[in-house]
Amino acid sequence: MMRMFVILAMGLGGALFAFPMLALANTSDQESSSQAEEVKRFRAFLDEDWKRAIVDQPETATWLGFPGQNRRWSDNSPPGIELRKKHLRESISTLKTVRREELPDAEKLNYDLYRLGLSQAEEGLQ
Amino acid sequence: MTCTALASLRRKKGCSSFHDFTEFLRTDARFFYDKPDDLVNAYRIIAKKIDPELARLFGKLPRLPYGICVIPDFKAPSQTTAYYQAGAPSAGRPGCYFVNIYKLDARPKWEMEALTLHESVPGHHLQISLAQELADVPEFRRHVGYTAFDEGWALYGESLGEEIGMYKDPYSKFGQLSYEMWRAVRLVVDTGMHSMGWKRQQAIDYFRENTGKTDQDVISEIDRYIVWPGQALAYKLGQLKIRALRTEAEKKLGVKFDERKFHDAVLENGAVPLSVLEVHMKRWMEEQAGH
Repeated sequence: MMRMFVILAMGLGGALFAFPMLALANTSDQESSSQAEEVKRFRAFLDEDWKRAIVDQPETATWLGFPGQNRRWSDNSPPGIELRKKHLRESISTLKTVRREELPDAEKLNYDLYRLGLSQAEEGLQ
Repeated sequence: MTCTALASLRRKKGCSSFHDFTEFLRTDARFFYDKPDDLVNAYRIIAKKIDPELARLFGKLPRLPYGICVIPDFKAPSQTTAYYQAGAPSAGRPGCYFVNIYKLDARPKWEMEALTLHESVPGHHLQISLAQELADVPEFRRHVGYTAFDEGWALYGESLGEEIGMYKDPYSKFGQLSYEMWRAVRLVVDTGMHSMGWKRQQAIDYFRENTGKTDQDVISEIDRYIVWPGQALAYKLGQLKIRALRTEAEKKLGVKFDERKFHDAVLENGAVPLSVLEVHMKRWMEEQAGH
């Protein structure tokens, strides 16, 4: 049997992926300020990107209980599809500016999982 | 292992071949309800039997409840026997274990326990709801899915039934073993069709010969694999990984092995790729061994 579950347009369903040996331990209390700053920037990007993705897909927003989108449908016109592609490309570019090596282990995992989702979505555009 | 156990059950029944045995299980009236409400209520009884036993298997349980729902008529003929639809804590929506009441003679009683363990708890509902309730993670982590993890977990969940008093009826035990076989057969037919040039009918015949599934299910299954290459492989691959990690943990920790802690550790990061799960669980084993 299968499960019916919302998979966001990022295309996060899927494949095995060769991840680096990541620890999932909690963020150390002794992060350097530079690390803390990078974590803050990374999390802010994830929050904003999530909001944009969910606004791009109002049905998913309603499904997940994200407020404010119940009166809209997804824009599946050619310009609407192009806009989502543009958003995806922007997300990929912004993620590349995050200094992964400065992130603590738990955030490295977030980074790698997000990168995987975006790269699968990009692959889906072909 | 599965084949041996199935053969043992067949011999107990006195059937000369696996085919005869599955034919008996597919057609004997004793194995089917004749009223839709009776079928739905039977699912509800099974679910309610499982619910309290979860305390034996997990330290942490989700807050979100789930219900048994009926698959709408318009899509029931082309749907499988059941599926899970995730709830949404933010929207105030419970999880829903959808069951198919179309063609009652294709919904045998002996598969209902394994199916319920898979789709509701400790399978999909438990795993997905715990992920949705994760704290201190970016929002996407609460909703992301990896088929090998999600379906591997649900298939592993079927195997936990024995530990909590399910599968007492030998036919129900057959149901569990048959489900194991079914996921193993997927490795053959999916690969056969998408890599080895098998025709649809060849896959249907192989599936029918090697599982106890009804014709209605067999055809739905094969058509699903045709349009979704590779997806069906994830169930068995994921389950094998989780089972292997458990075996390793039992061996490494000996009397220190705590099943509840093991399950909590598998699920505590939400869905992750199997490679990430493996790293996490090996670290967990080291930590547990040090205590």
